[in-house]
Amino acid sequence: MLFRECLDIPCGIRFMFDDLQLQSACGRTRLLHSPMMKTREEVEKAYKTLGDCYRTLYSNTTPQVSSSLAALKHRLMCLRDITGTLDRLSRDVVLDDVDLFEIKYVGLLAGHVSEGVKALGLEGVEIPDMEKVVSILDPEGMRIESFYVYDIYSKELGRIRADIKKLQGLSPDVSVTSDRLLELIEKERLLERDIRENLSHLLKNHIAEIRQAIDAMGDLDVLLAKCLQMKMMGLCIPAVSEDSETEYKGMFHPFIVHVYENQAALGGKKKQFQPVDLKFGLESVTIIGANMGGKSVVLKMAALNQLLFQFGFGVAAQEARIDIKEDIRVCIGDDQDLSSGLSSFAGEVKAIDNVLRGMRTGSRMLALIDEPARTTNPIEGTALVQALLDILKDRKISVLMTTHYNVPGDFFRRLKVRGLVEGKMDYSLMETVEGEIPHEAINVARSLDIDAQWLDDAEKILAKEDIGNN
Amino acid sequence: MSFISDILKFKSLSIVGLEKNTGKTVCLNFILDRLPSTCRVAVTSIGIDGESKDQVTGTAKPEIILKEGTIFSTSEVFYARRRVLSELLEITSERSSLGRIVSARVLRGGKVLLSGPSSAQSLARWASSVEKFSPDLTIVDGALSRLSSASPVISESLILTTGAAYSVDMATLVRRTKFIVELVRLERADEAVCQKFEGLEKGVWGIDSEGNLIDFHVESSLAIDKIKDDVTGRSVAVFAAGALTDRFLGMISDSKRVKEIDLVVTDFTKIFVSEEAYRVFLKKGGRLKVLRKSKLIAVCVNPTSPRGFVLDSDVLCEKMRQAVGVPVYDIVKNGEDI
Repeated sequence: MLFRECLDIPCGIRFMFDDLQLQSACGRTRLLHSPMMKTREEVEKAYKTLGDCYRTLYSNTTPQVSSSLAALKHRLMCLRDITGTLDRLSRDVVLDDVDLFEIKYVGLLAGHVSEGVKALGLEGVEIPDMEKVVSILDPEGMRIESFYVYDIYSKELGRIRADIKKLQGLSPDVSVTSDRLLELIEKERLLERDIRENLSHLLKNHIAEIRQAIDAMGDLDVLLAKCLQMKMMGLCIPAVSEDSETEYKGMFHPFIVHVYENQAALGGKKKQFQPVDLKFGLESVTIIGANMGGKSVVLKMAALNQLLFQFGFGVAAQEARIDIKEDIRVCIGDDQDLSSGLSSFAGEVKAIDNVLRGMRTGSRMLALIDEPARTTNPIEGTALVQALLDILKDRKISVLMTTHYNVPGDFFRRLKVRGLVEGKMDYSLMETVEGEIPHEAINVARSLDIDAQWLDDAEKILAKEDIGNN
Repeated sequence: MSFISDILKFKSLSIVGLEKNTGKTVCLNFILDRLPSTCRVAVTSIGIDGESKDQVTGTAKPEIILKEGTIFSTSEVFYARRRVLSELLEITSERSSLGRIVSARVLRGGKVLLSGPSSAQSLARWASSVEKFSPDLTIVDGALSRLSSASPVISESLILTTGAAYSVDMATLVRRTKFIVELVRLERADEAVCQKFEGLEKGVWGIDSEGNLIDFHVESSLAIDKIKDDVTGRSVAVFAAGALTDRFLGMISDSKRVKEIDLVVTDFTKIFVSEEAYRVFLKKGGRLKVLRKSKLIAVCVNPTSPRGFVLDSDVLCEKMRQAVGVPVYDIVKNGEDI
């Protein structure tokens, strides 16, 4: 799975992507096309680099570090996408001055960026040397960002140009011209063409090097943006789990925190996000709880953090220990199937079917399912959920599922949102047992100032049913 | 050489033609040729320009001739067709229909086709980005349909070119040119007023007799009907941040308080009023002022129309000089004497 394929998973990953302050289009492309990491080596290496970089940049920032970082980011801003030029070069097209300038520019830039990395002492970041490429395009060794077909490329060219200058004198107006001058100018043109052809030929041997240098600068851009995001959002470096267990302490959702901060900035009431702890292994876990108790948010946070983890971002928790998964499947209904013309029920069961297919491939999977079968009657709904949990048990996968149904059985773990405590919502999770389904829908609705007659009537009906049952 | 020494008093210059074939390119080449060789020049053109044939009338146009050391910016396509030896310095982030805009330094003089940034905003970005090559003078070859390229935001000074292509009737030509010159030379508003209005980018604003800033809460002067009485009722200065139109000008003209109001616009490129409406406004005692003013160095005339009609150069120059009050030159005829 590539990063760009995850962006539409409704868990807030797009928000994290949009928040990244990337300097270059190359950085953006590198990130969007990066595959999900699936091995311990990759993940550990990525976080070693991210952690080292973060510490170097932000854990006692001197003015010198800040200014070197700003300078480095400015350099990266100058990184242009020259894929088109390189493609032409690989097809044996003779490059013109603009193309050659671009390549020289990137080569010099790689040198500057490499110096910037060294000045900051960033470990694990290596910008390949483009010295050979630069020397082809900078025969005078001036190291200036400019290009023309230099006299030095051929003795004859230098001679012809000197002759032209002599003939032309001080008048730049070439329309006043002699046959001799025209002849020289034509010779110059042909020589320049040959030199460009030769340069293109030489550069063709270095295409791979050039691409590597550009990719490395793009990756550096992503790394710096991830570090800044960690700092701004208070994200953590997670540990890779040794025992298939995933554990978050103080997990939060950066988007919701961002919304709260915005509301406060606009003069609204300052709301605090209540961080949540969560722990799960290779098992099925159901999460029950009152409406508005943050069940879906728990799923979204678990999905978001798993994605952040496997793409090497800072993770939204105070502390985290995460198990590497090969597959992440998320069924959080956001009415996405309107476009494909499916009813809400059809959309939902198709999504769950997708999870089951994933499970049958035998890959290590994290499945996050929000209120399965919620759009049908509670009798069939409960049966569907019970059967689903039954199928998922004993597989080497992790399943988190929210539900309102009272599902019988002891083959899965049950968590519950603590819920309304003295009129205030407590979003923390606690272990619970069968049968404890909260009946707080009407209370919660009351807190929203919903039509009183409707809620009163509903309570009366419930009271009658209680008497009937007794 | 007072023409050239006037130009050298400023850091930047725009050349704007009031019509095609009024000799804008001739004028530019004349200036480039006469500037002292110690003066480092950076030059570009707004949109497509410098083509060897006029794209509308098919008449021959002189190419732009650059001397050694000049910095120029043009599109990639035209850069490939250059007839100078030049060193490429920068690929800018500006784009045009002819590709990216590149900047280069002339190593051996010759001819180029110039086609630079195509909007006033990107031109302003060009002007600031070319600063790193520390030129003594930047020159923008403007386009008639884009008077905004002559905005004081981009250039401190200005040369207008006009001629038989604009009108073959000498009286009309002089009158219409005079109108544009009047707008270019509008007075700057009082310092206190300028300070209040500076930085306002849209809407219509006023200042009352106590010097308080009033926001009339409209997006532009185009939506004025709602605020008519309010605007003319109590303001001593009214500022239209966007375009000034006949309707807005008419509203001020019709007011009983027209004589008590200073009408202010950002600069002359924001004025889109007809000569008639402007004359009525003046007759009723109206005053139009600007926040930013550029220096009009000269008016250059081309007495030949693209269809071959030729006005008497000496008479035209003399009449024009009397009407506009700035130096007037026919560069082709009198180039040697300027």
